[in-house]
Amino acid sequence: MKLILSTFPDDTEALVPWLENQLMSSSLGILVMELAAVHGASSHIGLDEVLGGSEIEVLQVGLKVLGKEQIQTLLTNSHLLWDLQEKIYAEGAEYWTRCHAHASTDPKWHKLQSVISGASRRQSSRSYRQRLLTGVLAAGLLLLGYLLGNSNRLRPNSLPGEWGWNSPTAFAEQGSKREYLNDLARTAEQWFNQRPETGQTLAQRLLEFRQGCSKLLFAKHQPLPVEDRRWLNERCQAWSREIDTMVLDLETDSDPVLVREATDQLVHKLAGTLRERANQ
Amino acid sequence: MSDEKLAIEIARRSDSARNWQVAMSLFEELHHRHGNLLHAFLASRTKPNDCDDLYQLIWLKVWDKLPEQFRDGNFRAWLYTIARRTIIDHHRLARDHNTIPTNAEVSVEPDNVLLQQERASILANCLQQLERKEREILQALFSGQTYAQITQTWSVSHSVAYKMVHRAKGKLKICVERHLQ
Repeated sequence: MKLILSTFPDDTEALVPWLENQLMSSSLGILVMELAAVHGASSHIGLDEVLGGSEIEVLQVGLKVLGKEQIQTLLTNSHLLWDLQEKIYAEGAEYWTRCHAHASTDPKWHKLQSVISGASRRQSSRSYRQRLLTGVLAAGLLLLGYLLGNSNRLRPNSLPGEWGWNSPTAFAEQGSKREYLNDLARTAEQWFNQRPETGQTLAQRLLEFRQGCSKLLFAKHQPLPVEDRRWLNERCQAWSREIDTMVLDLETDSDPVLVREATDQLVHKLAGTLRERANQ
Repeated sequence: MSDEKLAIEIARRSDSARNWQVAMSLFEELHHRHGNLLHAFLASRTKPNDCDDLYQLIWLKVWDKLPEQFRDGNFRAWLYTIARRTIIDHHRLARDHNTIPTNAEVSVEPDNVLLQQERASILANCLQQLERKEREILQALFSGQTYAQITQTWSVSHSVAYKMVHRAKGKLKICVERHLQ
């Protein structure tokens, strides 16, 4: 089992992204407990009281609108993080979902689909013929999906490991600076398409990401002015070093889940940096 | 198409095979949009073993209740209302069956309370094993204080504070993880 607080950032600027990431993670319950153990009994203060007039802004643009004292109150009254999570999930704007992409829902959907189909068959008063037709259609759709899925996998430009900046189509040769940098941010976020659980699979994924960084460093970035190319290369060198550290951490027996979460934060950070530059 | 439009279209489903298929594909889109966050929401509040079952149960409720209970308004707010109620019902059932004495908050499953109490107790003990200054500085950091505040309060330089924090974090991590193994 892991200690989430061991990933608590030193840098107060990194604290807000870290906390946002925790709010979007499935291990928030553990963090709430750890903070409660560190700070002892919390007061009966309510979330509305802490957020004050900032609630709508928080839902729109994240925790960066909160003052230092408000963040401190959330950390020392950690049960409020549960309430905040629920509010964000139910009412948060695109910021929260865009910045915190997640893995595919496909496996869960297939399971759910079969349960719904079963329940509906039991409840439905439809004729046998209709059900048969539905079944044939569903089977046809599944078969079509399977064939399409396989045909995608068989395409020569989607070999294993070729995703993100490591994909052959990652770097456009034309377009505006804005489009180019936004595309790079979007492509980097393909990191979230898989959620490796073991050290070995995570290391593999990190190495693929690192290879993408290397490709980015050698790419020509034709849509970018010279100054932006230089900036991008400097940033990418820093990101590469961070990824190297993640791989080293993994190889020295660090918890894969913690390393994956640290990488999630890095990807959020780099995608945000790219988007910010795109808008300059 | 917005969540609300998708929900209304799904709610209008009829028994015809074609219509049902359309509703299912729209439902898949809703599931795709909200599945992962809902799963994270559940995982933060329930035992891993129950999480997947509750997840399915909630989506089944959404599918069943859409035609009669969803009129308009915010689909996500409606989804999380169902999720919250389902978790509360689940906790209530677990309490009735297990008779675990609980002062649990609604957000935490009774079985988890025992586990979490154990974790909390281990963490508190490990904190106590740190030197007093290390412990206080670490608590300050975990409450969101900056290094500037820490150096001022404890009259130490930035580099000393940094070293103390990292040493304390390392000790705490080793201590907690050793006890949790």
